[in-house]
Amino acid sequence: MTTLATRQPRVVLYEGSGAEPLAGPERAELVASLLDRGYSVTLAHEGAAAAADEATFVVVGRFVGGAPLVTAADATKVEVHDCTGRTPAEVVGLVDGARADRPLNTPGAGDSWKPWFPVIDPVRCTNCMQCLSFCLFDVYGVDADHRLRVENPSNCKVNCPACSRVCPDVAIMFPKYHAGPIDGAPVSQTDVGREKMKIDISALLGGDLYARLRERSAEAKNRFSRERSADQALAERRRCLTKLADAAAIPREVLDALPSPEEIQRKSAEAAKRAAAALAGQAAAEGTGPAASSPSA
Amino acid sequence: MSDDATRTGPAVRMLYCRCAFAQVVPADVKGAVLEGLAGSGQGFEAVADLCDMAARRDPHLADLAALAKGGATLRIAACWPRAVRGLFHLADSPLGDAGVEILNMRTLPAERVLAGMLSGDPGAVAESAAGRDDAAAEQAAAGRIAALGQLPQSTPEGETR
Ligand code: SF4
Ligand code: SF4
Repeated sequence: MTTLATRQPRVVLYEGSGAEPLAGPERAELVASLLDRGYSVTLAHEGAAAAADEATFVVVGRFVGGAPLVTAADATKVEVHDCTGRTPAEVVGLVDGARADRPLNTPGAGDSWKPWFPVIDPVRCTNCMQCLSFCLFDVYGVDADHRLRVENPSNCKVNCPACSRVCPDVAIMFPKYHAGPIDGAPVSQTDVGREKMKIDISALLGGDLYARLRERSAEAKNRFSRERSADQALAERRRCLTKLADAAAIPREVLDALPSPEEIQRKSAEAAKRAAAALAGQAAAEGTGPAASSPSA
Repeated sequence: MSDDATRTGPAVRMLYCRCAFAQVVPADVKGAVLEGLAGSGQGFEAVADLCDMAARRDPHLADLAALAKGGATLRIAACWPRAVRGLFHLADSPLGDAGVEILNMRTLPAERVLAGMLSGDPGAVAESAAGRDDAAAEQAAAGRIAALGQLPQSTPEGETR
């Protein structure tokens, strides 16, 4: 599991007093190279110098008469490097060296973490907790006020937008999805209708999508024990799941990676319990629920 | 564009998102927007991926949101305004209604994004939040994604558009 506890390191490209500015195209190329590596970049000009914080570890610039001393807000010394005469690739190398053991995620490169996770539209969300009880991977949680919160973004399965299908209010977005309204495009009345239709499809398939998946998975397992060919059994399992996957746009890899039926059952029960607790908490806070009306022990 | 038109003033902060990996923002648009910002002579913030940053609940997002609440104008070149606002909210740094202008690189050409970023063109900001009425543009985007093989190749029938 990827840890999101650390900030992405930040580079300051300094062009204020004491430094020569880069030419526009050169500057664009250097900033692009640093961004594509995964760094955040602050382009600091005269009168707009960036405040160094604990994410800032290096300042680069074409310094005239020596590199100045820079200290971050937390008193960490920030390295300052002269990049005069260096190509963007060389500056990235220099920055990589200065980063030392600070962790850096290059989204999309190799096995780095891909930032794919649900984002809630707080204007649309009604805190019904359907998504919380649907997700088997503990992506969702609740805050101190019993409101929905995306707690563990890195638990989400890349390219799987399934939970957006269970939200009755079309409040779940995946900004990197390819189509609206899931990508954040405005939600039309037609979209609301369509999304409801999708939920009905999953209802037709057995009410509870995971219950159905469980069943299918068990069927596939039985078949697997009878089949002589593991490949054939796998093909059958895939065929069984195709309809469900299409209804909720769940990628096959996610279905293939689902835990055992027992584990699914345990996780769904747990998630449903957390959702029920959150709803009870909301009702109590609003003074409408049983917790609010029941006498204190 | 005149010099005056390209001045953002000290009370304006610009944030550019490079949008890594999914290719949902056309490469030519994000490239041209970065070139335009870099050539403008203005300072700006650039992040590799605003989604990644929000997932980390990076406190820098709170600083930017606070700036806008404190009377500065925060201009963001990224994607759909609803998604960008959702990301700041997820990072526990919700953006206020005032002082925030979001430019959508998924749907606008680079010149429109730059007009919004550098000159505060209200038309570009309004267009950024408007729904897609050009199905062809969306189809082109889906085709681009499929071609790059970054997202699932098969789009389920009846996909919401
Ligand atoms: S299902 Fe939708 S409305 Fe309900 S809590 Fe989740 S995001 Fe909010
Ligand atoms: S905020 Fe939008 S533009 Fe930026 S990384 Fe996320 S999806 Fe891409």
